[in-house]
Amino acid sequence: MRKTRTKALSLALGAAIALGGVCAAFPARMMAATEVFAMDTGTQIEYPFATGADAFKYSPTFTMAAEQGAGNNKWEFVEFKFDGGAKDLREADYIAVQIKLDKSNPGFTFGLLDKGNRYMVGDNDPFYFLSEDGTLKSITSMYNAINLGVGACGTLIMPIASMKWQVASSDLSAVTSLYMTTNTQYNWDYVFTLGSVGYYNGEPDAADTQFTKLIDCSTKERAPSMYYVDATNPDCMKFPSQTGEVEPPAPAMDYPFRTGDDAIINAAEWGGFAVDGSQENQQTVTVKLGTADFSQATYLLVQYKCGGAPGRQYKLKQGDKAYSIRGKNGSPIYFLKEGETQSVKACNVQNDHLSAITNGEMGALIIPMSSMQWEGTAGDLSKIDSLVITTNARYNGGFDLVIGEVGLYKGEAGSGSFTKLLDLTDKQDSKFTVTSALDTNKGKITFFREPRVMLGDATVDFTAEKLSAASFTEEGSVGGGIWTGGSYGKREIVTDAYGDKAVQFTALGTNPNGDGYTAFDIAASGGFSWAGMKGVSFYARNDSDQEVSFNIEVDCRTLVNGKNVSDRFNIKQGNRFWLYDINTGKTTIYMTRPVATLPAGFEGWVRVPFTAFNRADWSNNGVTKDQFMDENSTVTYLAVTLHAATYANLSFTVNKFGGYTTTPQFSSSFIPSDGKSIPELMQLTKEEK
Amino acid sequence: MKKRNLIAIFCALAMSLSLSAVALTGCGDGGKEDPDTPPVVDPGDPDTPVDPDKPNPPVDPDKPNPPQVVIGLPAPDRGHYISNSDLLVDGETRWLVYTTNETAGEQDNVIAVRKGTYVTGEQTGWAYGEEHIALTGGAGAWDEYIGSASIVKGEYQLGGVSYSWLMAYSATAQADETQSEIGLAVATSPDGEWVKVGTQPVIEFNAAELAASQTSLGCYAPSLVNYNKESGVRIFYSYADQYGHFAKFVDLDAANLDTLSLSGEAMVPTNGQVSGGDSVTMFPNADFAYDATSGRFYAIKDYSPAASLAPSFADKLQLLYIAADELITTDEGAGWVSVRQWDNTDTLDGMYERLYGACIVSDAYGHTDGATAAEIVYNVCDLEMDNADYIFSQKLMTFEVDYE
Repeated sequence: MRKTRTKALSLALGAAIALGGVCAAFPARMMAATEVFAMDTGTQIEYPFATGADAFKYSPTFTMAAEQGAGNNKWEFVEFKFDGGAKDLREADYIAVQIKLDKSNPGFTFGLLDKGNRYMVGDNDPFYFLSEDGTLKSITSMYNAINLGVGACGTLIMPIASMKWQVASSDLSAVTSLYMTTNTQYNWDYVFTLGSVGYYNGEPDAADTQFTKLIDCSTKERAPSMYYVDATNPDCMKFPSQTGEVEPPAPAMDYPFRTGDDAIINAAEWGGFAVDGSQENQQTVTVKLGTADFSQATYLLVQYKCGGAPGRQYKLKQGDKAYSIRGKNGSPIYFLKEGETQSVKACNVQNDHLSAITNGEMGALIIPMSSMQWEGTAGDLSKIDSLVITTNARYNGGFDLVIGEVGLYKGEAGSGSFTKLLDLTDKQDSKFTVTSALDTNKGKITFFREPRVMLGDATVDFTAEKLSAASFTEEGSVGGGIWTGGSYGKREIVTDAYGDKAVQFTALGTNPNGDGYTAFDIAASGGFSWAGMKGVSFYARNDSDQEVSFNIEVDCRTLVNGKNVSDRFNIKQGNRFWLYDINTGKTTIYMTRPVATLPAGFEGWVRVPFTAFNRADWSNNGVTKDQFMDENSTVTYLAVTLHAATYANLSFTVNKFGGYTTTPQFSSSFIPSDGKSIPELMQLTKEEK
Repeated sequence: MKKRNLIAIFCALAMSLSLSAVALTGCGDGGKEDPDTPPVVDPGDPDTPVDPDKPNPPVDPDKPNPPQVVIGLPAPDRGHYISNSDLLVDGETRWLVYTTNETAGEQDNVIAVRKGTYVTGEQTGWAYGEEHIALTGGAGAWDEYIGSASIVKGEYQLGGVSYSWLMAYSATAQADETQSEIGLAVATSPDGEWVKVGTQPVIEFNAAELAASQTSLGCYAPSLVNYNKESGVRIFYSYADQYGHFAKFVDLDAANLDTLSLSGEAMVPTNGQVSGGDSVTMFPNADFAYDATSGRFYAIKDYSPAASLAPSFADKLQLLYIAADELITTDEGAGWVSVRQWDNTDTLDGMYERLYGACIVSDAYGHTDGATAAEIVYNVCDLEMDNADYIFSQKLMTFEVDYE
C-alpha cells in the first residue's frame, strides 16, 4: 500500500482503520479490495498506444457468437498471451487495454491469468475508458462485466484495485495473459478488435509512473498462437492480413454412422478424470482398427459426442509412428451432426489440440487428413493400426467423450466413398483401452448398451429369443450350451405364457463319465449388471407333474481390493423365495428345497432374493457374500443346474431372466400388498396376470 | 392373558387328596407316580397287577363315575396320554385342547377339550372339567388318523350357520401317521359339537407332487391366530419332508367357509437367534401367538435335531419373537429374537429329558396383546429305556417366563 492521495484518503480511512488489523496478515494482492487509487475523469493521461489509422493496424478482430444462446449458452473465451511470457504484475496499478467495439455493446469480463488463477473485473467497481482524444470516461462494472459503449474506440484502463480473484487467490507474480470471456446467453452478435496491452506501475498521470507494454500490436501482426480462442465460431479471430480470405467450404457427405436410439449402443464413453493443474497427467484412449489403409483417405471420421470442448489430440498410429493433428494449428476440424449431410467447422487446431464445439450433439467428427501430419519420422498410412485420442489432465478433464464408430473417407466430400473401420453393431469392448500417466486421477471407459427391457421393477436381461434347440446325450453334444462335463440334458424352444420364445430344459439322466448335474447355460458370458438390486427375477413353468428343483448359477465379477475378480454363487437350502402363479393369482413365499423349486403345476414369476445365494464352496477368488451384486459388480455367467438323476425327464421352462429392485410383500385377505405384490411391481396387465 | 401364581397353585394342588397325579412345578414330586401308591386297577386288563390283600373297590356299572374336577393341568388317565396342547383364555374361561387316545392302551388319537374355570377357596386355581371329545378321525377318510389341533375364536359361517370357534387339525389317511394334512372344523363352543369343514384338507400334502419321501411327516402341528379378531385367520403349521422341519403359514378368510379363501403359503423365516444343531436352521413343531400391541409374533418351538435316543422327541424348547412384518417379506431384518430356552435342567430335578410340543397360552384369538410374560404349556414323557410304554407317559407341564 504505497499510494493514496489526499482526496481519496478521507473515503478510505474508515475502511482502512477497520480492516487494517486483518489485512496485515494477508499478502499484498489480497488487499486489493481495500486499496484505493486516485484516478478520476479529471485525470490527464497521455494516450499510451497508437491512434488513428495506426491504432489497430495489426490487431485481430473477433466476431463472436451470432445468435443468443449459441453453443448451449457457451462461455466464449479469448486469451491474449503476453509477449515474452509471464510477467510480474505485483507492482501494477492499472492495466491498459487498447480496444475497439466494431459492433454492439457487450458486457466484457476481462481478467488476468496468473498461474492458472483468474484475477477478474469486480462487481460495481470503477473502471475508465480513455478515448484517443484524451477524454476519460468512468464506467462502473456490473455483474463482473464492463460495457464500453457502442462504437467505443480507445483504451480501457482497469484499476488493479477494481479487480478480484475469481476463485483461488494468487499474487500476480507470473501473469501470462489477459483474457476476455462472455456468455452467449447474454452477449452475442458483437465484434471487437483488441490491440496492445500494457500496465502502469503508479498513477497514470504521475511523473514517476512507468508504462510497460505487455502486448504490442503496433508494428506487426502477432502470431496466431499468441491468441487462444474457445468460441462457437472457431474462425472468429481475423487479422487484418486475412481480409478477403475465403474459407474452404465445410465438407458435405451422407452421414456415415448409425442413427437414432441405436446410434450409441456399444459406443465407449471416456471420462472419469478431473483437471488437476498441479501436475502433468496424460490420459489416452486407444481404439484398435486392425490394419487400415489411410493412404488414399481424405478424411478421418469418428462418431463423436461431447458436452464440452476439451482440448485433445487425435492420432492415427502405425506402430510407434503417429499421424496427428499436432503441429497443424489453424487447420480446420468439422462436425457432421447425426443424420445430416452438411458439416460445420467445429474448431481449428489450436495449441496442437482440437477443441470441437458440438453443443453436446451426436455426430461425426470429420478430421481432414490435411489437418494432420506425421509427428517426426513419417510412417505408412496404409498400415494404420489404431486411433489414439489423448489429452493432459493438467488442462482438461471432467468431460465425458463418446467414442463410437470409426471410418475413413476417400475422395471429394460427397462424391467419394466411406469405409467403416470400427463397426459397433456388436460389442467391440476389447478394442478400446485406456491409460493414465497417474494412478491418482485415472480415466476410464464405459460402454453404452441397449436400453434394458423392463417389466415394472424388473429388468429383462435374458430372453430365449436367440436360442435354438440343443442336446447333450450319449451320442454327443449338439447345439452347445449344455455342459459336456456334466450329465445329459436337452434344450428345446417353446413359448411362454405370453407367446414369447422361451427355453425348456430337461435333464436326461446321469452321465457315467461326468458330473451328476446337468448344466444349462442361460447367459454364458453375462454382460449385464444386477448391482444394487434385490434378487433374480424370471418367468418359469413346471411342465412336469411333480416339483422340480434347480439351481441358479451366477458368476459375480466385482472389485475386491482394487482388482476385478469373479466368484460363482448359487442358491442354498432353507431360504425363502417368491412364486407368483399367474393361473391361481397366488403369491407364495416358498422354500428352497433344496434350491429354486417349482411346485407341480406352477406357472408364473419367480423372484429369488440375493440373500438366498452363497458363494459356491469351490469358488474362492475373494468375492464375499456382502459383495455379491454390489455397486461394482457385473454378471459374467448365468446358468441353471439340476440333479440329473433326481429330475430326469422332468421338463421345465424359463425365460426373461433379470434383476428386481423391490422386494415384494406377501398379501392376503387381511394383509394389504401396499402396491408391492409381484403383479403390481411388474406392472402386469389384467391379461398378463 | 390371565396369569396366576403357578407355584401357589401347584402347592395347593399337591395337598389335594383328590389328586393322584398333577402337573407340578416347584413343589411335590413333580407328578411322577408314587411307588407307595397302589396302582389303579383296571378290572378289564389282564395285565393289571392285583393286590390280593386289598379288595377291589365296589363298582356299580349302572352308576356313572362322578365328574372329576382337576385343579391345574389335567393328567392323563392310566393308559392314556395328553399331548400337543393348545390353551386359550376366553374371559373367565380357559379352553384346553389337546390330543389324547380314546381307548386306554391304544394310540387312537382324538382331539379333546376341557373347560377350565378359576376357582378360589380351599383349592385355588384353574379347575379343568370333564374331557370332551371334540373331534375324531373319519373312517376311510383323509383324516382317519388324527394328529393335533388348534382352536381360535372368531366370526365364521358354514352352510349358512354362524360359528364362533374354528379348529385346524392335522390328520392323515396313513396308518403310520405320515404325510399329514390339515383340515378345519367349526363349533359354537369348544365343548360343543365340532363340524368338519368339507371332506378334504385345506392344506394338502401330496408326496408325489412334492417329490417328497413317503415317510415325510407332511403338514402337522397347526397353530391358529385370528389376526384381526374377526375372520382373518393365519394358519401356522409345521412342514416336514426329507429336507427337514420348517414352519409355514397361510392366511384364511374364514368369514364364509363354504367358499374357502386361502392365500398362498409362506415359509416362516429362520434367521436370527433360532437355536438348533442342523446344517440348515429348522423350525419344528411350533406354536404361535400374535402380540398386536408390539407388532410381534411369538413362537415356541422344539429344538432340532431331536434326541437320538428314543423317543425321538425334542429335548429343548425355545421361545422367540419376530416383528410381524418380517413374515411377509424376504428382506432380512433382525429375525427371531430368543426369549428363553428350556431343557431338562429346567424340569423338576432334571427328570424329564424330553420337552416338546409346547404352546403359548393366549387369549381366545391367539393373541397375547401387551403381555409382559408368557405361560408355556409343554409335553414331557419318559425315555423308552425307562418305560417301554413311554407313549402313555406323555403329559403336560408348564413354565412361566417374563419377557423383561
